[in-house]
Amino acid sequence: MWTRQSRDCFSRWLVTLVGYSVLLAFAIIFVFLVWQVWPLFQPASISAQSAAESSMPYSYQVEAQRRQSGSSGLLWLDNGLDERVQLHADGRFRWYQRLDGDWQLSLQGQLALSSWQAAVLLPGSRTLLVADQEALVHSWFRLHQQLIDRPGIPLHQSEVLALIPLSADTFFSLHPEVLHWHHATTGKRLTELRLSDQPLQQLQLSADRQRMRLDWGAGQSKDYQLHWQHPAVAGGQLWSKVHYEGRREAAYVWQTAAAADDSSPRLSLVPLTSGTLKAAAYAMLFATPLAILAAVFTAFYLPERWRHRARATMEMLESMPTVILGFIAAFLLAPWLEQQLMLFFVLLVLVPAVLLVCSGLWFHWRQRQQKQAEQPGAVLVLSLVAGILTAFMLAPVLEHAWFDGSLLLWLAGQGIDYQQRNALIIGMAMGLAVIPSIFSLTEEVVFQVPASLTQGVLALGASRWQTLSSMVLPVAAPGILAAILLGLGRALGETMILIMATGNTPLLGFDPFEGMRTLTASLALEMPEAAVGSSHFKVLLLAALLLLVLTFLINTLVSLLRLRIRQRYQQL
Amino acid sequence: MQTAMPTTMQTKVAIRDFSLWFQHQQVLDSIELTIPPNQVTALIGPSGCGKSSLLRAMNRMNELMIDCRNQGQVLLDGQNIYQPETDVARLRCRVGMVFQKPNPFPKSVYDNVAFGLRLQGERSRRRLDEQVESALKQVGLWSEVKSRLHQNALTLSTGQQQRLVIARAIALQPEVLLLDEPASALDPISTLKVEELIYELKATYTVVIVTHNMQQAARVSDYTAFLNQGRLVEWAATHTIFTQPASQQTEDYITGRFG
Amino acid sequence: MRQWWQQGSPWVWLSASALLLCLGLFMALLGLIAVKGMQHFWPAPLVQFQLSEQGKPQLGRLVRQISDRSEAATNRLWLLDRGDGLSKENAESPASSGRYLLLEAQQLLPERPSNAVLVQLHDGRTLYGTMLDAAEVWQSQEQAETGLWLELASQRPVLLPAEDIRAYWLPNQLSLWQRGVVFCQEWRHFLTAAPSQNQSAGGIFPAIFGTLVMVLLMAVLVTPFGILAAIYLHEYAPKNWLTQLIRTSVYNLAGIPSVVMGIFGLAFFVYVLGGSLDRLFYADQLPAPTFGTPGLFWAALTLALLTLPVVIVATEEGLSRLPQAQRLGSFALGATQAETIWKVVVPQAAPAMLTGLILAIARAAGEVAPLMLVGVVKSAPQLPVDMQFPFIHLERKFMHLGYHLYDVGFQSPDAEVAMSLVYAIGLVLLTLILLLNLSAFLLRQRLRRKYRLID
Ligand SMILES: Nc1ncnc2c1ncn2[C@@H]1O[C@H](COP(=O)(O)OP(=O)(O)O)[C@@H](O)[C@H]1O
Ligand SMILES: [Mg+2]
Repeated sequence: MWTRQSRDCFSRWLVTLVGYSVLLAFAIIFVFLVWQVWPLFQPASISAQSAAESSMPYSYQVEAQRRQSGSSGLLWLDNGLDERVQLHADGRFRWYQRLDGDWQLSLQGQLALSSWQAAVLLPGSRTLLVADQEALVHSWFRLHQQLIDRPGIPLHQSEVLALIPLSADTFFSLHPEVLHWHHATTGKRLTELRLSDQPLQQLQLSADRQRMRLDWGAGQSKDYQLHWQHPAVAGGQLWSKVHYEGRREAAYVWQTAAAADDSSPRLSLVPLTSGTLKAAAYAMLFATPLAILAAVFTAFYLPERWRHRARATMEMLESMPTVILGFIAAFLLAPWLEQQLMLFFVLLVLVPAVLLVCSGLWFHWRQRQQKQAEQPGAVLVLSLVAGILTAFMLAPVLEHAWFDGSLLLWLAGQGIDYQQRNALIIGMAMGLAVIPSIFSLTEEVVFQVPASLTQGVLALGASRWQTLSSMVLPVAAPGILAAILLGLGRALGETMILIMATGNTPLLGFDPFEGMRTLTASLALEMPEAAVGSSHFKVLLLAALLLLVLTFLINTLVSLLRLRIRQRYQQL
Repeated sequence: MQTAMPTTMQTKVAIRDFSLWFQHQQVLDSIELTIPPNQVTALIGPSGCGKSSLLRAMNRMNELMIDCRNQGQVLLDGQNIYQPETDVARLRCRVGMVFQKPNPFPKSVYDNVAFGLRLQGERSRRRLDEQVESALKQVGLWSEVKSRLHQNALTLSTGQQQRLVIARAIALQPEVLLLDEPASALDPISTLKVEELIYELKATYTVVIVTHNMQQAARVSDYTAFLNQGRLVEWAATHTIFTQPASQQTEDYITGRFG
Repeated sequence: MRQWWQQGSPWVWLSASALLLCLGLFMALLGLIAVKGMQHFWPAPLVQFQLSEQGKPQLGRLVRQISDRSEAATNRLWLLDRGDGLSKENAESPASSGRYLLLEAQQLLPERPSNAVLVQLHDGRTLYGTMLDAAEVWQSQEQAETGLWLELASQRPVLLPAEDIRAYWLPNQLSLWQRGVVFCQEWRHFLTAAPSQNQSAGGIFPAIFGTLVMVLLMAVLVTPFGILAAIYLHEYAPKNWLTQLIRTSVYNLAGIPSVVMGIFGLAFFVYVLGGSLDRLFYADQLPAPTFGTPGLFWAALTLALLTLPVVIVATEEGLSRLPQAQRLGSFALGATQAETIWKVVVPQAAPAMLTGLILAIARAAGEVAPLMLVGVVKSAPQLPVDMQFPFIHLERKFMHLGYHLYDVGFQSPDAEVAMSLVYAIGLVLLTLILLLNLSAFLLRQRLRRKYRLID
């Protein structure tokens, strides 16, 4: 029966359900990302498997007997593709490469050791691993006609029975009684398997490298399952410097399309994170002073009507689609700045200077006339325009005088690379995007400072500015901090401006004349191409999670600060 | 508490040992009060003493406020309204309420008066018309608004709005009408009209009125209860209270020496 | 001097100019987009440049609207004179005249032939040339066809068949009024036609249409949800930690970067939900995905999640501004809570909900990053709504104004040519969004006044 009570009840249930589902939605986003990213951090493992189901043929096998190096003389190693190495017991080697079907000698020489226990060429790669007598696996790779040395991989036992290649970046080292699994690129030990003290006869691997059989002879064998889903991040490549094959030194590398098909992508989040931080830092550098000064002026000096208009305009600016800002930045601002770099710097210095001088003069003049020196009005606009015009006139002159006519050429002479889409551009464009958020909140908290407080100070004979700096700003400080954080949160999550105006090269460092690639830009550009479930896909999700957590923290902080300031105002 | 009342009088609402807390603050303390039918009972007392809270206790409006808790009984025709199985919506139809500031809905005059009736499921246009008309006539507003029944109620003057709100309450034909300082926001002439109205209403309804205006209490009410700091200090026929109060506190209050 | 500093005069000056700068930058930006966007359609005079000496010209930065790529190899160039510094005086020594330095160290002889013609073809190409008197050509060709005889730069006269021509005009002969007419016609064409193959010409109708359909679908999804959630938070929710948690999650939802929401939309909605839908209902079409691929519905859903806090916050603000006396009045008349909410509270707070909805729509219309991931494409073969059953094709990909802007600006082969078109698209997008925001703003103002009246 559809009575009034049941309708009331139904309405209550429906509304409550929807209310809770907002919480649920947020939780799902979080939990889903965590759940997707989780496998990235699962360590590799070897687990025993019942022998019955593993009757499929194994294609790869290694005699697990100690090689008598020195007696047999030399060893041929093969990467299964296009590289072969002939290694002598005393460390001499000849490196062959297959070109158009023939094997050609590309490199020969002497390794930096006199004897070795085991050696291997990793499948599909150019990395040669050689275990010496002192529990160290040396690692070299061929780069063109050169052998590049990589940091060695320490072993836990000096006696090595064999090095067994597993993939382009992992291998086993087989010792008496124990099998270790190493990451070749980073040198990290992934896991280990304890064996019985009986001598092992044979180790077999399946073609897909998912299963392993150990054979002790006399019909005694055991099957294992190998778990390793994401070798591209398993060795801690996400956050540390790695010396990748094909590079001359260790570096943070974000390179998703790997050179060879079966080598894994290089996924260091460091360049992207630093790009995000750099972009946000420059934007905040540009936006914070402007927005806070403007907001304080609006809240404290402007008459009510103008205050409303300024606020409304800022609200409109806040809704400006960032794709438009990005496009203006990339196609208008960037070429302009490249031509007028000097003008930019002159403006930056000259305009505030001219303003200060004018304010001094104005103050002096008003004092001589014995009038209050407050609302400057038209004089201010005039001096602002004057400052800008002076800068326009002065810039070419200074550029001629100091930099031989071109600041860009001069910079290039100093070894500073100027990229057209750089951090200054981002600072201005994204700064413009975050100014409204900082402005609105700052204006609100400054305006809401209880009038009793300001009137009290004004009654003591302080000027408006003294009231502001001694009373209003300290009281409103948590709110202003919240505003800055809010702007920061927006800057960290901004995407379109960054895609369009950064150049999107993953560079490290905080150079103002260089571009960058940010987390958000990578997400937007690479996600559609990443194969579902691949390491790349999951690392992108990790980046998304990172951004989520970062903005979550910032927003929580903002809420807390706003709560604090509200309480403070109520107490006053 | 001192009472000087005939013990055999009839009872419409009986408040028995009723206490009320807002959060942790006790607002009413063991109130014992009897509201006789078809009479006007006035609640007087200094501001903040709990008059409005006591009034709201009679139609369970307190529980719409923040976090309140109560003890004791309020009997309407012998039924405890605080029983869990009480239909609160039905109760509030029987016990109507009018607030200090007129709060008409921003709808037409007609829709305002018909609002409660429609909630009760009244759909017939003819009967609605009749009841709206009779309610407006009872509050003496009919002649003033009959030409603009379908104008927004917010265009009426404050005094008219207050009478409209009373009409809206009595359109439901409640048994008890609770008025919380109904005239305090009005000008003297409107106040007079409302007072006259209250006097007429008691023929049909049991009226409880909160006021801090002594003259008003003296003019319109038959019984008066004096509250102070959440306690019922004295309850008696109005002329008794105003001529020979039993308690010193009451005397101080009505002679204007405190509060 | 000390007094000057103490009285804070420098700070007042600096902060006042900061405000002026912020507002000035914003206004300049708006003005720039408006002017450039309008200019795209204004039939500017045509100037012909004759190279005095043969050679392959080098294009300078400021060249726009060069008639045809192939002409770069000839000795004549057409330019649209948009009044920004191009004049006969300038052109006499063009190598030093700065702004129109387009050929390095080559002399230019500009002229404005009165029979210069600009022809818009149906396939989106624009041709510049001189129109020939048809009678003259007929004598030599001895055949009459309908169409336009053109002398394109340094080529033999060609006949453009009438059916290829969308519109043409003689820019150097038009009166102001005629220019206005052409301007309006070109705008109309721009707003109602589909883009040509190479994206950098033609209209933007599918993009506008796609944006609208997506935004409306999003509104349908987000409105009931956002409003109910706000009602819960303001009318039903008890004051406890759980409510606080819900409130926090609303604020945090608002703070999630839109691209992260896009990632979630792609990974969860498209791959997980869409993939399951496909396996359940469209198993016969697998492996070709139906819902397991970005599309209209997922885009709308993702944006609905993104704009949910906007609706909630605006609605809640409206609810909290409604005087409590209204609710009490309703309760006192024996209304249940549901009746109070649906008959008294919601009708009065409806404008606030509308405000929230409009703000949400404005936000969704301006978002690009999440849409790149969940369903927007550079050119969609079909509109998402058509006359075929079931009329609204939720699984289709669609075009979007913001993304179209990005695409034309960044992916088009000829960036210089596309530039002025991008301004026009930007102008349309900006107008749409500013209008929406303005209406939300005015609505909110009105509501506040009304509540002040009630209270
Ligand atoms: N909404 C409320 N929240 C908290 N305390 C309240 C509220 N309403 C009233 N009170 C408290 O209850 C006490 C009685 O209030 P009330 O009944 O309104 O007094 P009166 O109507 O006699 O002036 C007062 O002390 C007041 O502080
Ligand atoms: Mg009261």
